[in-house]
Amino acid sequence: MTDTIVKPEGQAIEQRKPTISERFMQDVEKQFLAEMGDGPKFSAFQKKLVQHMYLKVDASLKAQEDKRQQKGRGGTEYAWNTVDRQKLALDTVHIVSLGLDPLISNHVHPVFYFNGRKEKYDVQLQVGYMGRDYIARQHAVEPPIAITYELVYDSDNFKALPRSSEREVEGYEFEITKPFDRGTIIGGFGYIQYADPKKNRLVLVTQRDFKRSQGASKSDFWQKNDVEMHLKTVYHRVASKVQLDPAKVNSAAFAALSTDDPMTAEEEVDEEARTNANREVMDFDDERTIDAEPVGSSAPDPQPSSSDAARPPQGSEQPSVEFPEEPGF
Amino acid sequence: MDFRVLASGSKGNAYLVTDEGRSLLIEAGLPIKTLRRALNFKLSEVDGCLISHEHGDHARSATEVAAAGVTIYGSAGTKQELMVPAYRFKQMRSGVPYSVAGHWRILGFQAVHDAREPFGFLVEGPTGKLLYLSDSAFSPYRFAGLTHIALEANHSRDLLRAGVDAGAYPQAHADRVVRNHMGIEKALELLAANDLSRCEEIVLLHLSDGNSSESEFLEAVRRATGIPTYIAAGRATA
Repeated sequence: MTDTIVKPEGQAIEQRKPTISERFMQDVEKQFLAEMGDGPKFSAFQKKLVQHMYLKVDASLKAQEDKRQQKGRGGTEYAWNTVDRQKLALDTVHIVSLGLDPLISNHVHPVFYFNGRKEKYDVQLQVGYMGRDYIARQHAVEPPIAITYELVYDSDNFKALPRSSEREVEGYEFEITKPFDRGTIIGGFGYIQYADPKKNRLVLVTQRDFKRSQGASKSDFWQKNDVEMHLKTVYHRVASKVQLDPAKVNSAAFAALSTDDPMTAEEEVDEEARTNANREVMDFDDERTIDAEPVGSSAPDPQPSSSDAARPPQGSEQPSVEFPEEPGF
Repeated sequence: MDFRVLASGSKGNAYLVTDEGRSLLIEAGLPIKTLRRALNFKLSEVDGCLISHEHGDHARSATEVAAAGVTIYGSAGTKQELMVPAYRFKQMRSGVPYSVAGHWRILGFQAVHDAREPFGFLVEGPTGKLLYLSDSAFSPYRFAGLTHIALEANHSRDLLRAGVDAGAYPQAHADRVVRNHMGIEKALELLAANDLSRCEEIVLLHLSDGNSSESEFLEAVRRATGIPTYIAAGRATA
């Protein structure tokens, strides 16, 4: 892959074209500058991670292409010239800014989707379960001092101990009664520990969560790797409960993370309740009590907004009101 | 103090709290004729009517109740939505106590529901203190010295999920319920977070027809609290 150009003096020199690896690095550096602006510079460590990403994607492309040829599938060849490199470069910036190393097992998985409109493969960089754990530990608003991930089998004894008026620290009791014949998996849990134990958090993973993960997986990994896939689900769901710090990771990287496991309504409510429920004590304050009578005259009305306020109390017509209905449930 | 259920559920809510011979109405979600009958045609004798939010199953007869000379109490948002004449609507601020008829103290606080400005209420009479909280995904607050608790236990999540799995309703409907109504799980968390040493009774409100289990909810609350617990529908007199 060389071009020959001729200097004015007639001396021929060789100008080497950049390799695919070098072009990939250039793509990523360009996207990094666009993302970060005048922010942090592309470090030597990050360059190493980009090189690792190249090696990982390259190996995955070769594996996919081998599989395609073995199975005699038609379609588009898996190769660097059939990949949307700009999107891959941008996603690589996100992964690199999170500090994930594609060559560490289960940090990042490249997944290929053929995009018919572009007639190229989009490479989705899915964060693996070890990557999730790494992010939770490195980029948390308050980094946990430990995170425990466990599967629970039907022969185990497990008891959740939620926070209550008598128990300030959330916790659990867990006992493996038959370590070598534990039976079938019935659930899982994670325990996130902080320097302040009052912030410790127990996260339960149910069969429904497992089914959701299984349903989202198109591969037959679940059948072949039952225990591992259950454990990976526990990692994903527990690590995602650690609040990440926007100051440590840019928002685009957050967005890339959040798309692969959106929260359910139940999880949203639980998350909100965890922060906001059953907090401050609401009670009567003798000094603040306002005499509510007589209504509409001397009683203070914080935001008198209706023109009705001046209307006489007797003999007036009642407005006809259509009430918003709540769907019956 | 006595807490009486006139009606509870998505078809209409109305409750009467009585203490030393005087009464406050909570919610006016019944047709006015039904409400009058439930009150033995003594609507005008109540000291006031607290409305948690503007949805019809809580406020259907608010204007008629006001027309009967009863002052309505609620949030500014509820006031705007109901259009009850201002001279019959006492606008409350969250967290601010108000005295009523020299007999009661009432306090509204923010609930978590898809209404303009939904409230839960604390009601204090000469002999008791009631927490009333319905139509709220959870309670933002804890409370002290409660003698009576009237608390929504709309659904259980297991039953909601089962309904979705069975195709009885779409996931979006179940999501809406979870975001706006308190299930037994969050009700138990609220009870666990409060000092119930003075509590005499707990009434579970607004149970869903298809996604709740009276016996299981009663058992769960009794087991968790050891306090006499009732289901609102079972005590309805209207």
